[in-house]
Amino acid sequence: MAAASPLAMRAGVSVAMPLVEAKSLLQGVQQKIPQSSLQSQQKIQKSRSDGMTEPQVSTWGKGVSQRTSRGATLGGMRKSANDFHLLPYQPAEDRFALEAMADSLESYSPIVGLESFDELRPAKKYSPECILMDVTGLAHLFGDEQRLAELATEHCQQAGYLVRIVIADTLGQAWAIARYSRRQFPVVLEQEPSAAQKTTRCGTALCAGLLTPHELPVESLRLPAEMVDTLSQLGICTVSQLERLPRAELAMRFGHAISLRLDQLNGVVDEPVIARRLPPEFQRHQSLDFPTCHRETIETIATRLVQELCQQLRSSQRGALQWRFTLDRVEGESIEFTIRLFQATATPADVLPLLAMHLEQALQPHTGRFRKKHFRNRMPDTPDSEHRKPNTENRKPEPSVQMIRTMSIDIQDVTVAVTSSNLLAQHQRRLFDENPHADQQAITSLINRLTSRIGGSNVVCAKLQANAQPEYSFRLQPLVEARQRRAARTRKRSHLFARPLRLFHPPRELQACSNLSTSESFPGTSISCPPALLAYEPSGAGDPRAHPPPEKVTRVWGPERIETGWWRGRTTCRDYWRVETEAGNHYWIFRNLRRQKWFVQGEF
Amino acid sequence: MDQKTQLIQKLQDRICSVESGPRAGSEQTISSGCTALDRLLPAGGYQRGSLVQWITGGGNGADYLSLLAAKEACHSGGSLVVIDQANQFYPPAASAIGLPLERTIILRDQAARTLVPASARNKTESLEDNDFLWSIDQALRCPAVAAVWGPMDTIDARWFRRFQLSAESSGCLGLFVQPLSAASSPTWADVQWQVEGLSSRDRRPFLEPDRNEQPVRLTLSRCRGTFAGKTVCLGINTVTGDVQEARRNHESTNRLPVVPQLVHPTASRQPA
Repeated sequence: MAAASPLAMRAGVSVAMPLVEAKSLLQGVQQKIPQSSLQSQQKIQKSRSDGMTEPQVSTWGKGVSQRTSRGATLGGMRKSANDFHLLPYQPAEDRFALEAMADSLESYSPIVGLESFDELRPAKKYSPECILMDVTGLAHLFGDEQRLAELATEHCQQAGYLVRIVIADTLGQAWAIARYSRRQFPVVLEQEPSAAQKTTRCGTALCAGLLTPHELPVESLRLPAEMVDTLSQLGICTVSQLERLPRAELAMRFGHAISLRLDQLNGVVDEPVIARRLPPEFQRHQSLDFPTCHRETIETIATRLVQELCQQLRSSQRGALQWRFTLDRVEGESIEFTIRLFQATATPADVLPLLAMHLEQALQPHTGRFRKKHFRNRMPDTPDSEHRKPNTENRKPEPSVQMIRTMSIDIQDVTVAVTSSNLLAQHQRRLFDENPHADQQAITSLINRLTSRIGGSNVVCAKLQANAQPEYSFRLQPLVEARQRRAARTRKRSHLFARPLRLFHPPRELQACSNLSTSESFPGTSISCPPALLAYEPSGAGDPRAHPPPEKVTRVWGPERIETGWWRGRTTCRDYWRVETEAGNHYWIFRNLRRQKWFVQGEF
Repeated sequence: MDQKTQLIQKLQDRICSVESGPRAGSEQTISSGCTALDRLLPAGGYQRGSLVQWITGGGNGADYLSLLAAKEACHSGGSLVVIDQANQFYPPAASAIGLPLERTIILRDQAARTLVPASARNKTESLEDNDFLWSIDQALRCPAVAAVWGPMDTIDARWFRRFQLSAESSGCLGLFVQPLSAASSPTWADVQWQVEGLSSRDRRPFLEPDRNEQPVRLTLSRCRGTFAGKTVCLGINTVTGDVQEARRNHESTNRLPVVPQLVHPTASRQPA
């Protein structure tokens, strides 16, 4: 059992319990749980343990009781007492949900991370179970720590999760209390209390007698399971018992693990929270005193911020690979877009044309009509025009009328950040370099423009893979993600034309249009001959070759048997033939030996 | 005679300058990859900055023949841009014939699964088409791109003209493999080939092709600087990839019944 709802846990189901035992417990609980406990929606509590096997999916609760209500659904789990559903544990989805929740909590702390991997608990690397936040110095922004904890709890509950939030001086204390304390949450643990004042604040009331971290069980120290077993055999069950033992003897017996955990619990050894998403190092922000609906103004501001960031990047010898632009609206969601570059650059000229393109695409839905603005012998108003010194030397005659595009929304903040950067590569050009084809900069600029216009997933490069099945013998990778491209090693074949230049994916099924199209086997073998007539399903409406007439096959080459892919599920088993038709066209067809059908895979 | 030849050459140059603008690298010629095709072309190959159309019904080697020219263009170190709107390009086969995949940029359209003609598309898709055509234009305009190759549907005349101007400005070679319906559409290509497979009936004047040979017939339906309508029959060796001109069956065309007449001469009385 990987997780259970509070109701199930109250019935005696616990994490790591065998499935059969859990089923029998829940079967017996239907008669005992009062209806009054189901006042609010309940969802599965995110409480995991290590190394769980995947349970079988079962809705065994259907036949348990006649009084079972059918109100339970998969997402909302509005449960009745008698309706328990068993769902398969999906670690990947679990982790994605946890990461999404961690990202959403960044409004409460800039340093939000997941339970990190360490040598004492290697399983945590792939299945973190809790979110860690560093809230040092942030309590005053929300009132106090208690208010911060309550807000975070409400935030998680709105997302549909029941959480246990603990604020403590150290990560170890917070983790221990959240796991093993059985009081109402959120909990804000005060500084190390004296023996006479072992209380913690809980909600708005003081609750005496609450467990401190030192009174918690040894499991709360995040020790390996075998070490906990050994300690329990020795009669050591709580942290306080462990603390009374001499450190030297513990180290001699168990290594440095227990000392480390005790020091982390007491704050002697620092245990920082590793942020999942660090705040960008290169970021600029501009708040407007008066929100604007002029697109040109937004573009001017964004241009200036890009130039400032490029100057900062150059001074750090770094180039930007990815830019993130955020336009905060007065009302509604922010407009955000990202520009990815093929090569790191700190030159504004490489970014500004892409910015103009993206800005136009992002603001297109909100752009209204053009508006004329008349000027009388003065420069047009811009947000920072008052900071500019008047330049009379290069003053050009200003137009008397300027067309301004207005938007239906108001922007009040512009934020530009470099979310990915790299060291700038320095290239020394040769003196007599007249070969324009070696101009890497031109290719880089082309890739950036193409990526910005049609998307990174549509500007790709091919990488060959060692796989016999034609569809999986290569993969396409966006060029902005491919940093190094090396010459591909091609598998040598006896025929240069062993494979066609056009591959249909998915393959098109051959239709049986007459008796001549049925295939026969070679005598004494199970190998089927290609059909005598070729007619296949059109690829799509409007295709010029949508309804090709059947073609008679005149010559064949083959077969070539490809049998592979057992690790992907069902084995792919095909006999491939190259056929020439009466019209002189060459096709690559195969017979699927499982389905006993013919398909056209490509044309030469 | 020299004056006449010079006059003809001068007139041809003037016609050429009227038909097209100045090209970057126009003095360089790119081989088509096949000597038989080079012989038909006026400059012995394709000029840099030109567009070449390959009209085909499919499955008759047009892709391979056009990629041979792209491979020749990339010899000097430029990049190759592949237009793959229908998502059918097969890189392992391209690598096998010698194309440099590390210098190949593939333009795809994930939203489009098939090569649907413009007339059959919805109006709402026109923006995506313009984006894709714009990308092709940008690739043709880039001086670091040696060739742009790919199957395409019928191209709008305005876009085609843009492609021509872009290719001329950068010296890039544009190779478009198009369906039969494009043959009747207006074109701005410098060279247009019609490719068709040789049926068994058409093969009669030629020797029976080798077992590993794919016979094709190419017709030069348009070419600046020479007469259109020239035809050549080729055989593509599927093992080695060599492209040779198909050998004609001389016995069937030049056979003369000499021996029987010598054995049984028809005596003609000569006057004394």
